[in-house]
Amino acid sequence: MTFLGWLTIVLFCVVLTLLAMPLGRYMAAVYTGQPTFLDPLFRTPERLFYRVMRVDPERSQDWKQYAKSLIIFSLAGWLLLYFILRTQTLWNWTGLNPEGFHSAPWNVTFNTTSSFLTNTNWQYYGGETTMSYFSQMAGLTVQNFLSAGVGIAVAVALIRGIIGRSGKGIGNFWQDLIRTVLWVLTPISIVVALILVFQGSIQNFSHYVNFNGPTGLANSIAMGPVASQEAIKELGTNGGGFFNTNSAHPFENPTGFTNFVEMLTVLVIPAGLVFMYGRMAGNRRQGYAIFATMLVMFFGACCVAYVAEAHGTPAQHAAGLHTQVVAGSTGGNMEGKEQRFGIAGSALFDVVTTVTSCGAVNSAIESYTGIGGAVPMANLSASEVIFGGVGTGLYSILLYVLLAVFIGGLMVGRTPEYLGKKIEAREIKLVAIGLLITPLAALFSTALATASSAGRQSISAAAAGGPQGFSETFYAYLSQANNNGSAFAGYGGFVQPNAGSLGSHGITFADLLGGFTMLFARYAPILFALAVAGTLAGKRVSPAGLGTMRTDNPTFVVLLIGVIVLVGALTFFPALLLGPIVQGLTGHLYQ
Amino acid sequence: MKRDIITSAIGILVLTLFCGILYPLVITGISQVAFPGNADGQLVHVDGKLVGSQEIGQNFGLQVYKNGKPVMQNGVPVTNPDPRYFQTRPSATVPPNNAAATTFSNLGPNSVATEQEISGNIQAYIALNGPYYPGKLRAANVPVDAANTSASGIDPDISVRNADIQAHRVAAVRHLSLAAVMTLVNKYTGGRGLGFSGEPGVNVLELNLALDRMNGVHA
Amino acid sequence: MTLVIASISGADLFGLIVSLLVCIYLLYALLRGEKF
Repeated sequence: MTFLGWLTIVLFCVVLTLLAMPLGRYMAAVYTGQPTFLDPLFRTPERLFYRVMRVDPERSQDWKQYAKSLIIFSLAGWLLLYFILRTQTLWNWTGLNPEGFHSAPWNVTFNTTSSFLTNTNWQYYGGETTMSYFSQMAGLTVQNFLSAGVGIAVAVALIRGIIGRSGKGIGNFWQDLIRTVLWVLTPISIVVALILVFQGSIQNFSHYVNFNGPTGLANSIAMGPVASQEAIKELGTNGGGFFNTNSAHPFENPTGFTNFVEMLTVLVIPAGLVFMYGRMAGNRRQGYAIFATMLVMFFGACCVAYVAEAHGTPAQHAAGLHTQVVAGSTGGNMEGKEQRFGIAGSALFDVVTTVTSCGAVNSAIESYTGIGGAVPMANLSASEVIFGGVGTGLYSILLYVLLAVFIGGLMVGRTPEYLGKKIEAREIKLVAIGLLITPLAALFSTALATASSAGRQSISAAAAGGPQGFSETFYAYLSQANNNGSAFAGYGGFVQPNAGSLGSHGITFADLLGGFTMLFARYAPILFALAVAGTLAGKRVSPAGLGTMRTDNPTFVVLLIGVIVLVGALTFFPALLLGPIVQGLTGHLYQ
Repeated sequence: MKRDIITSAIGILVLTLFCGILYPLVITGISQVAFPGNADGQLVHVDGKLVGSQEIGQNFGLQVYKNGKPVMQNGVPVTNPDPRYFQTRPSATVPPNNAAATTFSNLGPNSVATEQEISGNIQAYIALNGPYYPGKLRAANVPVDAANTSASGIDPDISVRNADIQAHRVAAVRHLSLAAVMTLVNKYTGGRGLGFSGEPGVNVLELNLALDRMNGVHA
Repeated sequence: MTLVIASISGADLFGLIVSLLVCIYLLYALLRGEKF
């Protein structure tokens, strides 16, 4: 551990907060229809979209109409993406398939399509050996934008439900979606993409280049329109890399500076949404309280991850390596890490990406120490409310807030109420089911995959003999259920002997189980969040009295953290024990 | 319902045009004009021939021959490290440092396979650099980045300590002074982002090409 | 017991089915809430 490593973590928290606050103010203006400085640029395209799509943006929808629009739109997106990916050679005429890749098999494509629709971006494939530039651009990048837009729309709809005092309307899905794409996602993506190219990321449509190195060995380098996709991959907490090794690849993440920028890009909208919420709810302290909850847990996770990775692994020590920091060497567990990021830059990225639904990686999670690998698992076990994905983090933590208010109300013997509205049986039933869907999906899928021989097929050969194999499986379904997308990448679903997918096949069990898990654990909670918005919208607001439990003070922050940790721990502790905790506690090496 | 279907169908198409065609084209257009070298991958040419990218690590090895024929293992050429050049980090791509099919090693923290891989890398490193190193090179003084596989498999950098150890071999084999080699190492050592983010790394390709220029191997 | 697509040991299958039934019951209890 080094001073600069700790400084990186602290500076990150500070800069994130400083960026998120003005972004929150800006987004509040965007979603309440107030003027912003980008209006001259986007007003006309916005009107054009509404005209072409036959949308009446003034038409306010109730929760069922909102949900219906969202589901039908997502279905359209799913069908189009599946079509694009399964007809990859059909688009060769665009010149955007210079390597002439064929389509991946139906089961892998099912998994990939479901994955990108649900903001997961779980990739059983490697980008540079499977996807044409057209697929990456017109297929995957599009869903990077749209899945982010859908997530944010749901969060905004829930906020409107919580604060809404008249009628059952929670907004217009189409307006929220278009506004998000135009005012929020596009401008920031452009800025980030250009920063990346400036630092060395690539952006071209060239063939892969072949060459002979100085010693005469033949080699090739993959190319493509990387920076544009990389920017929205991080900004929309998607996580699907252009290349197989994701943000470890020098073309996706060339320098220590871009590493810092990418991490900020991942968290800036989730953090900004919290401040936006405070503004829209007319109670900024409420936003600060939720932000504080998230920041405390985030910082804790960073500390554990950094210390664990700096320590080094039993395998390293058994081989005789010394893992202390010495002059000129990073020390620590450098297996599956890049030199330019070091231990702190990798551990921090790993935490950033797993507290949200991003799932991009700049280091191999499978190679982390036992405890170091338990941190992303713990982050996922908290159902990604520590900042969380764009939109999903906020609506998930708001469900936890309602739960905490309910528990708090029980403890003091008062009717629970939040921002003046009574939380009654109907609300809490929806909240409870909404919060349990994702953990249950993760655990059931893990159990099924571990118990059945078809499921165990996916475990990597090196891991099959010990707790690592369980960790791989558990992480896979935990990640897919939480729509994260990071992986213990030895866990397979696609066997690809050649680049371009000829002669390849998918592992149907893993592909389908994963695909359904992602779809279920994304859309079911969305429906419940919208239903909660629906029951709260237009509810009578009673003024705060002497007995009202405050939700914007440090006591509530402690209560909220307690509820999140308790629910996560009770649900996942047994599973965590079987995998990463065993690995962390033992120096034993498994075959 | 019907309204939603029509709006969805049209919407997905126009949004695909906007986000999937227009947006990447705009970024590509600006990038190719403003940062053409970067946008194409910081490719490096020597004597008019492409020898790699500044951002991509390479295998500086020599093909092993047996009876005049190149030795292959599973269709992959077998190589030995070229002692004249600095070597990059261990790589899990097939063949090593294949920048068209990057992959992680995915070796876990508690497995025998990992320990064997690390030991193998340590032995190779000591065999290559030990004879030239003042004093005895043991596992305990091998820097972690030389024994552990990189994440991308094409890590262009090595740690400063790794470079320092290899410098002894390179200087001896090329008949250069150690000081001259170390000057080059320092020249191609990159700093941290904004002074704090990340770790310094020595760019192996640039360093090796500079050595070739110094030895008069290439113009 | 061997299913068509996968083989699950008897004990595991029993455990899966029991936990599924318990979950369904708890869901039912939650939704019927006040009427118990």
